[in-house]
Parts: sequence; structure tokens; C-alpha cells
Amino acid sequence: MLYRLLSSLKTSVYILAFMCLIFLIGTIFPQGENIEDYIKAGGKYVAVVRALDFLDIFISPLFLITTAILLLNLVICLFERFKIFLKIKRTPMDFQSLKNHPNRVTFNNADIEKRLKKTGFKLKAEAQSGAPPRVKIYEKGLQYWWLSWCYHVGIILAIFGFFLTALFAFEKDVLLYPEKPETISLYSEDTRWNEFLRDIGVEVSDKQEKNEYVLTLKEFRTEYYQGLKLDYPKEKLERLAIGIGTKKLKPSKKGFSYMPRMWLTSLDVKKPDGNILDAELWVNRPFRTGSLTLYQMGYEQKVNMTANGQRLEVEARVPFEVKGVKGKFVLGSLKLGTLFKRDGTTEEIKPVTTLYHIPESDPQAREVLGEVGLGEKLDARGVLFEFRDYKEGSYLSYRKDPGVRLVGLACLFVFLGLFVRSLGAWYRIQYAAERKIAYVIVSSRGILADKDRIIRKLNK
Amino acid sequence: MTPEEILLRDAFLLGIELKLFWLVALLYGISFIIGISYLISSNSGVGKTLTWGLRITLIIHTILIIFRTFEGMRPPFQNLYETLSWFAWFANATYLYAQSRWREVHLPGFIVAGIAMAACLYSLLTRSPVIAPVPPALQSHWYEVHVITAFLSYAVFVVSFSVEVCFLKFKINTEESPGMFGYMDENFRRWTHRLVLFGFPLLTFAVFSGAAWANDAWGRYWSWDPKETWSLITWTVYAMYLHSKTISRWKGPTASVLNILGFICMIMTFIGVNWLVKLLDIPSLHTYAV
Repeated sequence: MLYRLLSSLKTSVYILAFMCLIFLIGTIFPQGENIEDYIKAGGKYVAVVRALDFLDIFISPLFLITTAILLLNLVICLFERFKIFLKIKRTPMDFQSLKNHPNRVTFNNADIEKRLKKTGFKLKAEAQSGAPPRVKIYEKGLQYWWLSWCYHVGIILAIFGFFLTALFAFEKDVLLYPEKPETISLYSEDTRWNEFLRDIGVEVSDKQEKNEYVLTLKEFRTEYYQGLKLDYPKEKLERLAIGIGTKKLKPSKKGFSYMPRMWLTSLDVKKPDGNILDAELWVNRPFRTGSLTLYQMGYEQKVNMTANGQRLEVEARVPFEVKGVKGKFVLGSLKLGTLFKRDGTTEEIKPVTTLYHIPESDPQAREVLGEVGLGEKLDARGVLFEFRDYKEGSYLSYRKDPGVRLVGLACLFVFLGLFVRSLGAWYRIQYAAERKIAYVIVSSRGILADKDRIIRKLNK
Repeated sequence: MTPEEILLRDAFLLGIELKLFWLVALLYGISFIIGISYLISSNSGVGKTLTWGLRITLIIHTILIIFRTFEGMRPPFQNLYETLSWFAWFANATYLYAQSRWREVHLPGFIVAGIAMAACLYSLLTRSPVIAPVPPALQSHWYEVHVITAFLSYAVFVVSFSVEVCFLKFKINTEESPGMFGYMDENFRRWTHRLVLFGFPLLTFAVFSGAAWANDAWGRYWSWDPKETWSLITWTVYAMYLHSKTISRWKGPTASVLNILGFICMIMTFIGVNWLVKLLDIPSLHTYAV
């Protein structure tokens, strides 16, 4: 009974509908949030949220059990269909049914069979009993039922890949400054699998020295575009006025801005076997070696400056105080590196940053005090600031995910299978001839299938 | 060229483009109004005018997209302003292709015209058309493929939805004579399935390429943020629709409901994720990437 239920396509649709509901819950309730914070923020339905783990719905027992049932349903459906497909039997209809069928097409020549073979049709079955003429089945194209079966196998593999990721993947960050090598390990005690082992009382080591890599930053580079601006209004009526030509677009009075073009890191990667690799990576171009993948996430900038002679090491975008002055100060991102200009030329940017003041009364406000370049001074709020030096660190993340390759391959498999299944043309022809008149019924699958084209070809 | 000269040139070209885009939005609007008149009058001449209106709009819209491509010196798929225009264009083109295969059916065109007009106006009124350099995170071929395939699939689903709605309301049971709005028979209805069959692999690839892009950019192919999750909901609903088409008792109204539901999910994925915050009054909803 249960087996029959799980081998049903209707059950698949019901499970998918239930999964949609879980996905929906996952978009409504803040994922990964602490239940106490949720209550403090005025969250509703606390008892249900707590009981069904709505704040971690995608690793909750509800989700895992539903996925497992879907997996079981898929496996049983595929197994059942596999048995059917292996023994698939094409049964030609009897001649009278063919002759009287509303969709049959007749041809006044007897060499249709030759033409069928010429156009790539293959004889798949022939009626064995009954009086002649006997009906034959011809087919052309990839058998859609096997394609469908194959991409469902791909879905199962993808789900396994997701499980591998969920259980064993981890992600950490590393901040690299020049001449300060950092050691990272491709082992983490914080994976869900290790958490599970700890829960059942198995001891989990906190370190695995064998799998350590040493990273040494050689160079971190930033590149900017010259962002020339047009004053495009936000007001809807003004936009309409531009559209009908009563108002003109004008260049922005703010001049140009620096727009990030790329952040690039060059580094040495010392592998566990002692080999040193020369690595280069940037945003959207990770560096991969063995199981290690490094990603460019961002950067950190530290500025050495003096304020009325007092030495300070200040991190960009982090507020700091100056003795005797009310409120706080903060430096904007340091602009340095290469500027790619709109006229096609490039220019090295002289390091420059913007100094802001944060009033005590409004910690969110930022009052611009001015720009200060390397080696320059700025007098603001009774303080003489001098920009003396800076250093820039590359912020990388590294990840080990044993599931990603399986998921990637499986998804590609699913996509190709689906694509060929949906678009590819498959035809079946039931054919019989009597006294130089051929009777044909064409059935097809796939978007590119065109029954009329086949009939035209047979008519030529 | 000096920066001032470059800016003046940009302003001039953008001015022309915006006039063209407003004209396109206006033409979609006129087509929509013609469609409403057709719905009221059921005069086949008005229906034909609707289709011709959409054809003319398609030509001007094609010129607009080519113009934008030359203006930006890159394919126009980099931001929502451009992709909304592309989405409207492809919905119209898909509709006109399908319409050429129908017998005297013009009505779904008014839904397509309405949606295309809404997309153009949303783009013109809420997004900036200024051509800006692409930030580092978006400089990926996966991103381009992701955006193109996602919007292609959305456009196809728009047409499938409009066919489904028109069929449900004005279907005819015989192929002998046309109904009020042409031959909206089972052959016409089959287009909903054909269109979803075409759009579904595209949507699959859009989800897949988005994950591949995220994997290259951040090292995590799936983060369960609402945008991703809604795309998965849309995918799952259309998967349910395709499965229901293979179950004899669910081929009819059940499949229709799922097709319409799929369209609603698509709209949610596209622009509706943050509506949910207000609707359910939940304070800490995650609304990344809306």
C-alpha cells in the first residue's frame, strides 16, 4: 500500500506542493535568527515557530523528512518506470481501427515505407496476428521516456550533493597583510557532521595539521572606473518631461566619482606537501587548488595619521575619537590604485580619503570635513590631521565543499536532459497499406516536432 | 574627448533613447486599450488592429534595444532597467510568434500588451537609465547568462498565462465554427503546455547559472535568501504543472490553476518578494536582492 502510494506521480505532486509551503515559510521567517531576538523584534506565532524550527527551516527535521520522502518517491518511481521501460512493448493497432481513425492520413502510393526509412524512421514493431494488411510501428528521435528518466536521476544526484554540502561544507575568512603569512586549515570542527558526532558523544578533534596551507600576500590592487554622472531625476513627472522632450538631461554638478572596477590579489600558496604556488584571484575569479578554493571578498585599509601631533592608526570606515574633541571622526574608503578613465586612458590615483565628523547627538550622521591625500594636512574642527601612511589588506574567504561538484554535474545533466526532452522531436508512426493506399497516424512529442512537416515529406 | 564632452554626448544619446522608450511604453498602452475595446466589442477587426499594434511596437522596441546596445557598447542585460525592457520585448515577440500559429485568435495580446506596458513603465519610472560601469560582483559571464535565461523564461510564462486565462474564459468546444474571439479550442490550449515546456528548461538553467555565479563570486552556490527561494518555488510550481499534464484527471482545471499559480510565483520572484513584508507584518523578513 505504502509502496504503491510512493510510486505514484500524484504523490510526487503533493510532496512538491508541501515543499513549496516549506520554501514559503523560509522566505517569511528570518532564517538563522535566534528565537529570543525574534521574540524581541515582535515576531508572531512563537510556539509554532519554536516547535517546527521555522527560524532554521532548511535544516529542520520537517524539511529533512520531506526531502527524504521526496527522494524515496523519486527512487521508487524511477525503479518502477525502469522496469516498465525495459519491457516496453509497442502494440500496433488493428488495421480497421487505423483505417477509421479520425487523425489518420492517407497516401495514394505504396512506397511510403521506403520514404519512412529514408527520413530516418526505424521499424519498431509489427502486428503479429490478424488478417493482413498488418499495422507497423515506426519511430524517429530520442526516446523521450528515457530522457525523462535520466534527468530525474540527475535530480536525485543533485539532492545527494545538497546533503553533502549541508553536512560537510564549511567557510572561513582570512585577512592578509603584506609580509604577514597566515596559516589556514582545510579542516573544521564546525561542520554539521562534526556537530552531529559531538551530539552523539563521539570525540571530534579540533585540529588536523596535515591539511594546512600557508598564504603570503604579495600584492593587493584596486582598480576604479571614472564614474561620470548625469543628473537623472527621481521625480516621476520630471522623468516623463525628459521622455516627451520638455526637459533636458544635464551632467551632474558633483563631477566624477570613483566606481570600483576590480579588486585583485596576488599571493603565494604553500601547500601541505611543501609546494609553493603563485596564485592570483579577483572577484568572480576564485583560485582553486586541490580541495582549497579562495575567494576575493573585499579589503581592509589602515591609515597612519596624526591629529594635533598625536599618532593614530585608523581603520577606514571605523569611527575613532580625538582627545578633547566632541563626537567622533571616520575616514571613508581610501582611494588608490589605477583609475580607468572614460577617454580610454589610465592614471595612478594618489591615495586620498575623505574625513567625516560624527556628531554626538546623531551617531548615524556624517558631516564631510574634506578630502586629504597622502602626505597632506587637513585642518578641521580645530584639529590638524596629517595623512602619513597607509597599509591595505586583502580579505579572502576559503571554503571546502565536497558537494559542489556533484551538484554542478547533476544540474548540468538535469538541464541537458530537460532541454532535449522539451525541445527535441520524437515521432511515432502507425502504418499499413492496402491496395496501393497507405494509412498513417503520426504522433509526436517535443516542441520542435512538426507532424505536418513529416506528412509533407511523405507526400513528396 | 574631455569629460565634459563625453557627458554631453552621453546626455544627448540617452535623451534620444528615453524618448524612444516612452514611445514604446505608449504604444504598448495603446495596444492594451485596443485590446480592452476588443474585449468589449468582440469585433475581429479590432482584434487584428491589436495584433498589428503589437507588431509595430515590436519593430520600434527592437530599434530601441539595438540603440541601447550601441550606446552602452555591450549587450543590454546588466541592470533591471535594461532587463525589464528586454523582458517586455521578448514577451511580445513570443506572443506574436505563437499568435501566427492560431486561427483568428488575438485576445491574449491585450494581457501581453498590459504586462509589457507595466514592465516598461516600471523601468522608466523607478530605475535609472544612466549607463554605468558594472561593479566587480556582476562582472561574470554566469551573471549575464543567468539574467538572459531568467527573463526569457519569464517572458514565455507571461504568454502561457495569457493563453490560459483567455482559454478558461472564452473556450469553445468545437472546431467547426469560431467563438466570440476566434478558435479558442483544445489546439489553442495546447500552446500553454508547449510554452511552459519551452520556458521550464530556461528557468532551470537560470536557477543553475545563478547558483554557478554565486559559487564563483562568494563560494556558496545556494544561500536560501528569499529571492533564491522564490525562484525555487516558481520552478517547483511549474514542475507540478508539467507533472499534472501527464495525469489524466489533472490535465484540465488542475493544470490551469497550477499554470496561473506559476505565473503569480514568477511575479513574486521578480518584484513581489518585499510585498510579503507588508502583507504579513513580519518585522525581520530577509529581503536581500529584491
